[in-house]
Amino acid sequence: MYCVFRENSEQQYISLIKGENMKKQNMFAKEYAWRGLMTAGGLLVIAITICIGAFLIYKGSGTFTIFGHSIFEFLGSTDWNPEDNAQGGGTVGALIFIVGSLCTCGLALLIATPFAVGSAIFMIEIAPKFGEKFYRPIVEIFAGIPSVVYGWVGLTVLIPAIKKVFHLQVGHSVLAAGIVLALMIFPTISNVAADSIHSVPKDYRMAAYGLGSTRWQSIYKVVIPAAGSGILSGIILGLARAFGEALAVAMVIGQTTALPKGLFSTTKSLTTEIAAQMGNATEGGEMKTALWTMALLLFLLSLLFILLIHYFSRPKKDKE
Amino acid sequence: MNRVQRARGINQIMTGVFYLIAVFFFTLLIGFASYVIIKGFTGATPEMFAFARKGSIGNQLFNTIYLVFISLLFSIPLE
Repeated sequence: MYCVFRENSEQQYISLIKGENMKKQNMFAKEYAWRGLMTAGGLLVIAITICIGAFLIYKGSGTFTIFGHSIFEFLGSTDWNPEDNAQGGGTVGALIFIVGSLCTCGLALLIATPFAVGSAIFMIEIAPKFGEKFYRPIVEIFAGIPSVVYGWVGLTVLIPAIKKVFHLQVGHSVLAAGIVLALMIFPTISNVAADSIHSVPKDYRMAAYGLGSTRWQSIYKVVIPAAGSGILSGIILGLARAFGEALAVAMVIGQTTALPKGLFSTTKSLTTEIAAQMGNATEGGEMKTALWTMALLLFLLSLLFILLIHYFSRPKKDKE
Repeated sequence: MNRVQRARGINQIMTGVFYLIAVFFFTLLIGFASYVIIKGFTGATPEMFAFARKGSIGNQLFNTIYLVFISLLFSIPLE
């Protein structure tokens, strides 16, 4: 614009202003076009999510509406024998899979959480230099390894080892699934926990040291309570990942339709049963509808986990 | 043993515990990675990466990258 104020003729000046206005209009048009495109993209994503939920509810409710099973039968019975046709008449008790999922994920959490939180504390509090330079990047790499690799290594290394150590006929077991899942969710929990421990203000630690506490006292009396909600959301994030895992679990759990009697018995989980039966079930049959209901159950559970994460990581009001 | 000494002792024990956890997982993760990498490289032959119908993974490799490419094509604009 500033060149305009030199000795330009009136004509040139006007044409310049016009050009500027045109350019401005053009820019506004672009601005609105791009904003519209962004909004459309965002709305599309929301719409897709809602559509997936609605589709799952529509498909999954068929077990109760079309085939007339009660919700208590689905959730509370171990009698899993759905007919593979549209007439129905079989039984759809999915308790085995629900228990299988809960057992493996619970075991994985039990194994992974202490180690993950411990290593998060190690890499932030105890050896920050080594932690930031080497430990954390390596842990992060492991968050990205495909689950099939974990399953494969579990199948070729872990299962023979379990067979040998505990003198079993088959190494496939809840324990193996729990260990594989624990290794899978360890990086997730560890990363989120490390982030939340890192975000605890340094003044808190300094104040604790100033009062004469040792490092361990400052960690478990000050840092862990202050980072507690973040650690909890990390654990729930790990749980959600473990719950949705099908491939790695299917390779090591042994795929037997029976309730697990102990750590070393084989069983099935929700995801592995869906993955195993989806391909050969008839469309619209009782089997497929029951599988859809299980998928709906998984969807609702993951929704619950996400809600819990939001609940735990909500901004806290300052307490006195 | 007075309180200060006990607190110091516990501090040292817990530091040791955290070091143990870290060393254990560090070796576990390194071991896991080197197991997969070493096993993978010792089993690999140049013929494996051909696009033949049998005994090669060229097609699968291509399909994986192709799928990633297509999914990026959809997801990047939506991001």
